[in-house]
Amino acid sequence: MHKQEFERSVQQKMEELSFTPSAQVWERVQQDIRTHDKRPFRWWWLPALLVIGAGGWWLVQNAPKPQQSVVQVNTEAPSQESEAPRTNAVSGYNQDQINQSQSENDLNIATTGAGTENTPETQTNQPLLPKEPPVAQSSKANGPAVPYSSPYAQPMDKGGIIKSAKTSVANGQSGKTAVQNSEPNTVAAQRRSAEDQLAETSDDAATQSRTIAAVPHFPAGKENTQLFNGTEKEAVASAFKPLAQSKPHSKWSWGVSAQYGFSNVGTTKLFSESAFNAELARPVPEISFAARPVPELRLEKGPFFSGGLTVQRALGRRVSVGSGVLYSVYTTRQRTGDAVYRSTLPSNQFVGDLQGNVFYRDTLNANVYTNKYHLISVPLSVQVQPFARLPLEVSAGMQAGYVIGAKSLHYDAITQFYYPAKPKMRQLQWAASAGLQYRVAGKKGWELMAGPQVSYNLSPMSKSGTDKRRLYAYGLGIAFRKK
Amino acid sequence: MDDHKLVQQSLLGRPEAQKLLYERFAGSMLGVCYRYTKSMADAEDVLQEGFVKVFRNLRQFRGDGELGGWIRRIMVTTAINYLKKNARYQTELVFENEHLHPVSTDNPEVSLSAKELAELLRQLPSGYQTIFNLHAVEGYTHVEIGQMLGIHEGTSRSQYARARALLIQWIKIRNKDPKTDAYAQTGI
Repeated sequence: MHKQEFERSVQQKMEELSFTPSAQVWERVQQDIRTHDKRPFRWWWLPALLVIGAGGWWLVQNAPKPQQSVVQVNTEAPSQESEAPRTNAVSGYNQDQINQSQSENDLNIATTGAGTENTPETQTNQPLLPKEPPVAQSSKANGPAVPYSSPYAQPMDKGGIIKSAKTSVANGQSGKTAVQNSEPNTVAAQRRSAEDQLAETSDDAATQSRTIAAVPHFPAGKENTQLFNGTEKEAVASAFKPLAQSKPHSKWSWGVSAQYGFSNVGTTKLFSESAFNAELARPVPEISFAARPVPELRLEKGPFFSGGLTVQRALGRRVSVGSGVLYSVYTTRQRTGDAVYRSTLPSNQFVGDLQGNVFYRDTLNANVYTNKYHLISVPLSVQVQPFARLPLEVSAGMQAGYVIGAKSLHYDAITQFYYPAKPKMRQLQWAASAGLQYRVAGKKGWELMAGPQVSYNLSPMSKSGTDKRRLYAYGLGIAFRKK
Repeated sequence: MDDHKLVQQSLLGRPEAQKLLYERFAGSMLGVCYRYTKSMADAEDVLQEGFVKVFRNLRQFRGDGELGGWIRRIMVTTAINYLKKNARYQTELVFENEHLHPVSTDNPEVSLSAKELAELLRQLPSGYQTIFNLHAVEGYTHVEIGQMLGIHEGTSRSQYARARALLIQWIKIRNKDPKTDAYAQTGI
């Protein structure tokens, strides 16, 4: 009887060994797994949520505002009497209408000044004041109607900014104000309200509006050319000067980016719960070979590099979207035994089906083999600068990658050799990525960003539906951008 | 319900599938745990701990191999960890670097039942018992056993040879007189 036959007979006997466990064992197992039955947190949804959240935020911020309608307040030419008294009487208009008209006129001026499209009402030279005022009866009853137009618009008679005021003057109205000097507080409050609204759409416009608002009220009794004295004109003109001269920033920027770090393969969870999981991550041989256990897969992290061209488009002052083309190399390292060359193997050693000329034994940790995966990917990401004064960007997005080449170790259970070969990978690899980028250097027109980056492939590496291992990488990202 | 479906249903958190999976493998796995421990209570402790690990890591079962083999590997790992942690076994698990002991060529016929053989196996010192189980029953090489237990490969071979010789001696005695306490006669 051969030695192995004794072991085999013992093994057969032990395979038959079976007992019935007590009922308490299942109860305790059940109790334990109930508390652990929650689904593991799908961390890769975080970048997706960030993308969705940033997109939603941008949509809300850039939602089209309801168009401001111009209040039509008067049709009649002002009578001579209306010019004379510079009392605070607002003949023919109640104060609400005046206030409303003023605030809306302010809004039109500032919005137009910010460079937005003029509405048909402001672009055409149609009279601002229609023939029939909405409160004509009461107006007439109380005296001659006086049109109200924003005094702030008058000196800036350029570029369609103050068409409404111009129109008013062009219609032969001498621009007398209906605003009573005794009620500046109400008017000013309305003006401030309008300015606050403007601040949301354009800081430049709001600045101008505030500067203009600082100019004293429309002086009564002056023609439109005499509305302001020299100092006032200069103040208003200087407020508009930056807008006229400043060149708007380009919304597009391009650059190059690179990332250096480490990569590895993980299961559905990014981090193992314990070392025990690593034990379960052993490769399963294609052919089971008696009771011979499969050697433990000793995968370690390897260097990771990614680099390419990027392009960004600003959606707002602190939000932008980016894309580009990236080349990435993921690597993992695997400890193996001695290298064996095909030519040195004995003739009875069957390795005919194995690819390559170099094999590695599965016993000793004599060598380290580097598995490599090359991908070309197109990222789509959103960058948000959460704090206005801190040049820090939070980015999150997705990548569609295509595997252009790969080589990794495989295990053959019959020969008990590792052999390098092209793995059966999914060609299309979706990945989620996230990171932080801090502006470490920059001047007008360019900037250098750096910060930690992480990416996790949502697609499993293998075409096999049961192998859920995925590539992931983390490291330091550097990006150079030019506007 | 086949193993694959059983795993899928268990992953969905269905208690009946989890219980079915447990019932399908609990008996044979208790046999595995029994071989590594000295009492049924310890074996049940290992079984419970092992099945908790099975359910917690069920997502990692890729379905390429046998579910039973996968669970068995978990049980063996759990049993070894249990022996290492448990003070009762620690003293017997001390391995010394011994010189290579030649494996005897004696191969008696094993006419004992599975339970009788398991009882003899459990009378071995824990170190011998573990190494004999790992090599003879599970099929691990001495290099792998050395890595698992943190001992030298030669120590594993030596301990195995001693365990084997002792077990054969007991089997021979049992073959002659089935009612004898074989291990008592050899003074272990």
